[in-house]
Amino acid sequence: MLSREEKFIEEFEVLLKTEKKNDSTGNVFYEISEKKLKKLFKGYKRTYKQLTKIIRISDRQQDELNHKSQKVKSLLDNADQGFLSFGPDYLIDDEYSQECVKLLGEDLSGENIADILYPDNVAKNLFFRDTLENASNEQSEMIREVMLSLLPKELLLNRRAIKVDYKCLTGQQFMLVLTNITKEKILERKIQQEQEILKMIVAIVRDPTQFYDLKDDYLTYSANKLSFVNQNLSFSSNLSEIYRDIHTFKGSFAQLRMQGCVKELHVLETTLSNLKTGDEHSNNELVQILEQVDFHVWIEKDLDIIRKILGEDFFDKQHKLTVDDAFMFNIEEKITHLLHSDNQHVTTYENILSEINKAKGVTINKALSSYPKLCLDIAESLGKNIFEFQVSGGADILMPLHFKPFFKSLIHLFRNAIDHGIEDIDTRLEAGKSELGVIACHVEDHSEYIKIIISDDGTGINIEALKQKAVTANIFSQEQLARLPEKEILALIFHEGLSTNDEVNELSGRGIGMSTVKAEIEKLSGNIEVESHLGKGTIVSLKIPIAIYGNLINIASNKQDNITIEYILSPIVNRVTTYLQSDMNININKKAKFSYTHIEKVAVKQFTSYIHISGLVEVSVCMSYDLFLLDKILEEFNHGETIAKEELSDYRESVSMEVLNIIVGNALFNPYDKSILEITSPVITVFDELCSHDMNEKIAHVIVDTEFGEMQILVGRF
Amino acid sequence: MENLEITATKSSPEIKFDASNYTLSIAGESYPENTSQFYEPIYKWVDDCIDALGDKKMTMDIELIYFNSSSSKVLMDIFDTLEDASDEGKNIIVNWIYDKENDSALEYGEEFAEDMEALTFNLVEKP
Repeated sequence: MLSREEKFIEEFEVLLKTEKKNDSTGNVFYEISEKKLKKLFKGYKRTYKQLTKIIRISDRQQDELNHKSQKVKSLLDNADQGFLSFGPDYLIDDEYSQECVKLLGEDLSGENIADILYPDNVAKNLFFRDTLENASNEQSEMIREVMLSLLPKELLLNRRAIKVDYKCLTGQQFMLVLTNITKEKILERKIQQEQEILKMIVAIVRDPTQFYDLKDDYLTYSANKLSFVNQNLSFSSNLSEIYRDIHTFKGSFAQLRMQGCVKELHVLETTLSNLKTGDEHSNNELVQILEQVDFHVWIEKDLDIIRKILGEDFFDKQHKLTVDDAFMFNIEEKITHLLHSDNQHVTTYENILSEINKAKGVTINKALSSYPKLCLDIAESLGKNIFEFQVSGGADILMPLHFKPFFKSLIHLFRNAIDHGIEDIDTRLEAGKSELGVIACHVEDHSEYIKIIISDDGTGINIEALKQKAVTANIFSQEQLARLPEKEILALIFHEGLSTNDEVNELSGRGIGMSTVKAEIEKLSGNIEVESHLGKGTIVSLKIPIAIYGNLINIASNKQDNITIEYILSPIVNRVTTYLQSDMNININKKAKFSYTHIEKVAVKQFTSYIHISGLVEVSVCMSYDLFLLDKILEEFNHGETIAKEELSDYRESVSMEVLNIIVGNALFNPYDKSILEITSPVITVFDELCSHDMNEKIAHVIVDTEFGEMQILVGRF
Repeated sequence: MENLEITATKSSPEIKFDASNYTLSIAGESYPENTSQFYEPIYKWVDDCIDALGDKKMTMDIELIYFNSSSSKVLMDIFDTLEDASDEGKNIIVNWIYDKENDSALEYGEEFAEDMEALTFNLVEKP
């Protein structure tokens, strides 16, 4: 390129060597022709001119280049996207667009991109570095693309949602294109919220009665919240009770998709759950927590939305319905009274009662009818698939009003079946099952009781895991578990605070839902049986004596007293079992089964008390104890404190009466039909045997054999 | 003297010699890795062309969007050669083709045209 100039210099050098002369005085001089000198001058001048031109052009080009790169920068800076590049050392290059500063912060040059994107998450930080390192070592462009596609496409950074595109540049350089998608995400969430609201409205419109009931129950609960802390009970039993209530409310609101309430209740539930562990707290603390809770404010947000969409009319309709209901209830009550006092027109009264019930239209089947759709919703929200199903049976059995809380609690059973039972599609196919899970609900009518059978063909209950949980939760020791039959171990799923699922979510996992079902069914003197086969599924059978109130009317009028006695006996025996085991911690010896023996004359033990029931039936209930057992109960009543000898006898009498009162009261008391049965105060008897009033009438006799001795229960007229 | 075509790359221009018409065209961007090596055949062609030209007309069309300093030096050497040949009576035309939108391109052409006395150096706006 500079060959001419080089030649020119060479020529000059030769000239300096060859044409060098000395004059007489010794001065050096060069002899050169004019032509040659002019040529040299011309060459020099040309070089000078070229040089000045090159400098001018170069400066001009530099300006132009700067101008152009400024233009590109301005384009990128205004692109609303962040562009940056970095090399194998993950240090960000000097050139990055303005949006990067907005999204990632100032002074990014030389900062480590991995640490900026993942400041706190070590695992993700390492994954990012590893993936990029592998990608930069990969020759195939396709594989490189696949590798980069594994990196997260969206990040949450500085409260912004950022979309990230990864590009491989030459020379092991990577480029990131960052897009702020916060607005889009907010919009997406808004759409999702709209959908949630729509689902809520649909759920409410589909079953307005359920909504009105729940709203009223909840607001009543809210108004009376402090009354649920019973100062006579221990903190933990108060906590359990309130916790269960909150859990059930949460479940019911979730069923109606009332998300505002669900969220708040979930938080409260967590607060209460935290109180369960750690130091013992006092009832006053519980009161303080409840005082701070604004139950009615939580629902108001949801109600506002409902009001806006369905109009104030929707709430007005409710009042009409309530008046209707109460009106019918009044009539029902009056007819029941008449039925009791006027035996001549029994059939007429019965027909009227049956009509009223039909008008109210709540059959067992109908009471369960909202669950199939709900199950589909739950399955969807959990990403699972189940077959559509319908509740079979129970269409001719009317649901007693006081069954409502129990039916509401069944939500927990269905949830559990889907959440913990039904597997995902892949697992199901591997196990040779149908893609869709099967949930079924069947009602059996056994006239004196109904059986609700809820089954799933899911994974079944892992007994070993359940045992482990029971040991960890200090419910049973390994040794105790080894002795327990499988059925009773399975029943542990209904134990409060025991969940086979480790994850707590808004649907299930706290191990509280199932205990609610148990608590509710026990209020109805029913019981639960669980059968489960690992890998095949679980069947829960819920047996509830239904005839006790409804059929009592028929039975009483037909004077079939033996049957009457059994209907009274059954819930009382059930109560005794739960009472002794759960409240008194006394184990019942299962080997000795309950025996129903009808005998005319029964010898009773030293401390015997009885209670008189009147109303539709005239019957007495009597309980008597082995002394050792009674003292054990007394000890439990007195929290282990010793009692002076001279007072002991009085105490024993009081406890004997108190237990009878509690059990009969709980087993037979019906808050909805107070007129049906009246229960007197318990009395101590001094006799050592009881006889039937009438030789033809017999006394039902049950012996409950406990680890501390026997307890007798007698029902009859004596 | 033979015809020759060199296709453009990202950093070097398209070169076309047409021996029968004595035309040479250079178009594109010019910042090749080794400028002297790249332009070597062009020097040679220009020299050969001048020798063979006689009283024929030689035309050189140049349309460069971007060029580095080495390229500009090469161009100036070629222009000087052509200027000398024109001075000796050869009929040579240089057309510097520029885009109207590109002010710099015109200015570079003006810069190159300066001091060219014998050589016909046209600044041609791109149609």
